[in-house]
Amino acid sequence: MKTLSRNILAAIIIGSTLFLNACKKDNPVPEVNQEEFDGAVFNFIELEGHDDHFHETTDTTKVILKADGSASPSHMHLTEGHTYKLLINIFKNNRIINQEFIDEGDIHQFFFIPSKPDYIKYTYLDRDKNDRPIGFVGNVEVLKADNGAFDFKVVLRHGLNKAHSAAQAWDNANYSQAGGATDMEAEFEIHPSEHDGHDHEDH
Amino acid sequence: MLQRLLLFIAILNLANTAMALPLDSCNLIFKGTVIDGNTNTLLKGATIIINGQIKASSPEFAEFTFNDICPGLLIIKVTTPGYADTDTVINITSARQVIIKLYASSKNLSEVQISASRPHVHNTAISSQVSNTDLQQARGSLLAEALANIPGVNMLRTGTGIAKPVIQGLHSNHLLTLNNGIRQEGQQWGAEHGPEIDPFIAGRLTVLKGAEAIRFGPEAVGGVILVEPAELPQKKGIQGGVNLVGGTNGRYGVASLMLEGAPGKLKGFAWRVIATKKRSGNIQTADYYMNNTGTDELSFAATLGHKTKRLETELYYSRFNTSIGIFNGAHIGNVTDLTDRIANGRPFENGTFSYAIGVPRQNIVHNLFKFKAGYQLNPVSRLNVIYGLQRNNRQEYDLRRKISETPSLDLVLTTQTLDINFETFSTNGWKTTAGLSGLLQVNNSVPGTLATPLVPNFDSYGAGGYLVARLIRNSYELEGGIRFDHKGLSAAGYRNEIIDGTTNQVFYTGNRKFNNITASVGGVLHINDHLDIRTNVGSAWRPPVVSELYSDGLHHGTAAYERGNSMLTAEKSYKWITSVDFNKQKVQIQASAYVNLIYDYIYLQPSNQLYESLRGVFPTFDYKQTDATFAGADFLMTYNFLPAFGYELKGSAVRARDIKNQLYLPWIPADRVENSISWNIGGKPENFIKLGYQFVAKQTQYNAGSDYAAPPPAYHLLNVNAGTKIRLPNRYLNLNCTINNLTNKLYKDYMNRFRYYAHEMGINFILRASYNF
Repeated sequence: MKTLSRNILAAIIIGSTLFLNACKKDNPVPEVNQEEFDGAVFNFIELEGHDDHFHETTDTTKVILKADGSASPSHMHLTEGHTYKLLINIFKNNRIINQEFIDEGDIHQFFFIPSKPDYIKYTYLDRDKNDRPIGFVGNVEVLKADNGAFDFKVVLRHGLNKAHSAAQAWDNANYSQAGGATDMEAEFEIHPSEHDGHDHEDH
Repeated sequence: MLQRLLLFIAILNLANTAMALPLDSCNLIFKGTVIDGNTNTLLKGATIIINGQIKASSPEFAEFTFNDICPGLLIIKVTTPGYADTDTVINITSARQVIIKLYASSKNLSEVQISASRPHVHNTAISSQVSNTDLQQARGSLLAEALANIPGVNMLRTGTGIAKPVIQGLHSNHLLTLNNGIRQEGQQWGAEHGPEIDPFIAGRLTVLKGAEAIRFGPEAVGGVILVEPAELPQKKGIQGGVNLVGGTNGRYGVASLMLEGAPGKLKGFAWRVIATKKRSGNIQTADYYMNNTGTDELSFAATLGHKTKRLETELYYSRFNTSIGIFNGAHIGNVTDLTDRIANGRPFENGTFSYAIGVPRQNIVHNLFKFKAGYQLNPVSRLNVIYGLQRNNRQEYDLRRKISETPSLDLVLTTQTLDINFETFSTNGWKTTAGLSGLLQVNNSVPGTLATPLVPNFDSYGAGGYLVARLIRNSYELEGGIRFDHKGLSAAGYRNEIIDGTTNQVFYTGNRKFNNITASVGGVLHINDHLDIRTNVGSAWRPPVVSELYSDGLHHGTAAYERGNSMLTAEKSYKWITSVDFNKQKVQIQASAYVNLIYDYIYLQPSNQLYESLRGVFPTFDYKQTDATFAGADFLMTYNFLPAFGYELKGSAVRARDIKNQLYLPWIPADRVENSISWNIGGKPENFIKLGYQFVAKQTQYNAGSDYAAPPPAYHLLNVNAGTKIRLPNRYLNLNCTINNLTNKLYKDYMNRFRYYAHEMGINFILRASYNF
């Protein structure tokens, strides 16, 4: 009899705990948003040509992409005939998180879309496990400087089919045909200037 | 609370005892015959319900005899599949014999037996039922697809695997679904959240089109969907059925097994179990496959009932478990992605067939437990108690960086409902129902999603009390009701905010309380044996849901930044609906017209601001309130122009407007008409072939520029359906074959949220086999 009443008591306690738990919300827990990041930096590192190879110089121009999607500075200068290493770093909590994307390099790829053709040429320098380009590191060659400025759009795609024909050219404006979604999008102006003689006051 | 309730019941009971009669004089003989009112032929298999208690099924004979009837008022309800229910009221003082006429409700009577169901729907309500033929054919499809056979009921789809019912232009939290008597509580606020119910469990699907808030409570603004299982068996022994369905599009297969029985040794007990498994792969449009559109579904339900002379109890448990692939061509990162895809009008890649379900996908598990008891206090009064416990776990997976196998949304919604009602009949033809209902709901986000949830954690509670009085006369019925509801909500959550260039999670809370009184009056006029006119005016309301109150973030599925408004008030609706039912030998007509005026209608308004982020630019939308009208008409006619040939015409039209801003409302079904001709081969209803033609007009009630893409053009579809019955030793095997979209047309429907990205399903050849033992 004693055991029975104890069992009943235990059942009541368990039952009422379950019931009460089902009646009150939990305190919410803040989530660290995995998909979000705080910003990105585009480093244009000028290279010096030595016969068949390049050396990095200390002459680096940076464009910073902020959380609100704006780029600072809104324009930058590159010199005709020079080659720059474009190194992209993505930041979260002041930490570079490029490796997260590189680990899934087979479904991530950058596209670089100038608003006018023939000013620059981009070459991917990094590869995923299928030997397809990603775009965290690449070379930008400035082909010409005549009269101008152009908009430079940088897009990071996630989940695309990298074997698709639309994913083969670095400057394909129809990159979305390869599928996937945009993880990051930045746009700023590039002002290509003639050999060593650009005058910033012009702008 | 309990004391008050007991007092309430005691008072109602006291008021009733004056006319109650002692049970021991219950020995009168009452005989009857059930006939088809159109053909005057005997009708076998009807269920006879007297004063709310099932007295008998007459599977073999059309006659019934009871010898335990108490003197006094008898409310006799007779139901049988394919026929409209009848209510007859007689005052019995000595032995009596009656003839009860039933009229076919619609369409061909299916040979597959579905037991009749309980007297749930009151007769002044404007209701339509899915016919048996349509219900049989809907097995293995989505609940909303089964309901869409009813004129005035459409679907709001998200791709192919998710469909929500739309009743006369309203959906989601504007509708109430009663699953086996319990209000279904999933995360219904989302347009991409389908109801978690397997149509196989339904013995009957009914839609109440009026404002039925009195009996069922808040949210029944646009109508009520009743999903009711068949009655438990009364016959001793074990019986059951196997249903198999296979379809070519998506290469899908469905298998369902049902077993039921009444053990002879344990008197009064009856049971049923049903299990269904469904698997389908990528769906094919006329031109291409849609990748990641497979589904995997497993559902199970068990019922145990016990009946004594006065007390009827039932335990019910069901589990619905589904995994739905979301077409991956609809996964977009920003508005540029969206406009690129709209410009293309179809996926960039043709896709291939696969059963694999990747990301994005939804995994949903819905558990429902129900306890129901009905106690016959005296011959004319009954007390019912229904308790429901539901647990809905919704997990949504997205394409994510490194953690695609971690859900980005993981919500557990636990809901407890309790309904107590008391029904009594009086000798002068009044039926009175009084009830109390309560709801306790808790929503929690399961931590660890690494994504800030769209909706906060919340506690919600509701309490309501109602009174409905109905006067039943031979030539007319009148009904009036009033209800009071109180609802409270206490929410707490985090939202993202960019502070000094970094994203932070900011804590917020909210508390809201709502009170509302609703009322309705309605009536039915039985003009003659062939013609009934029903009309109903009712008010209804719904409190704003958490997503409308507290959303503040990027909704990736819709490429929009949505901002809630914590000060939103409740929507209040006034609906007037009138219907005509005509049944004469060759012609049956069901038509209804309605006007629904909704004050403080909640909608998403574009704010003309842009939200700029690292991902690109998004338009922003704010939840606002306005006044809206929904007006329209539904029509169904069947005409058997030759003994073996029948014609059916079905159509619906809705006009919905924001009357404050003089704008059209979005996501309103376009006008549609369906025609079909059927031929009963050899004059046997079980051998038939039917050709159907459906026309859906272009939605022209659209504000130019208000959507990413204008409504798609009108379309025409052809469907073929044929069935037969094969005699096996002692049993029958029913076979049915359907070809949907016979011409394999490539088309889009305005009511599909994925119409931006892809087309509708191409040709589908479906074979169904059903065997009962």
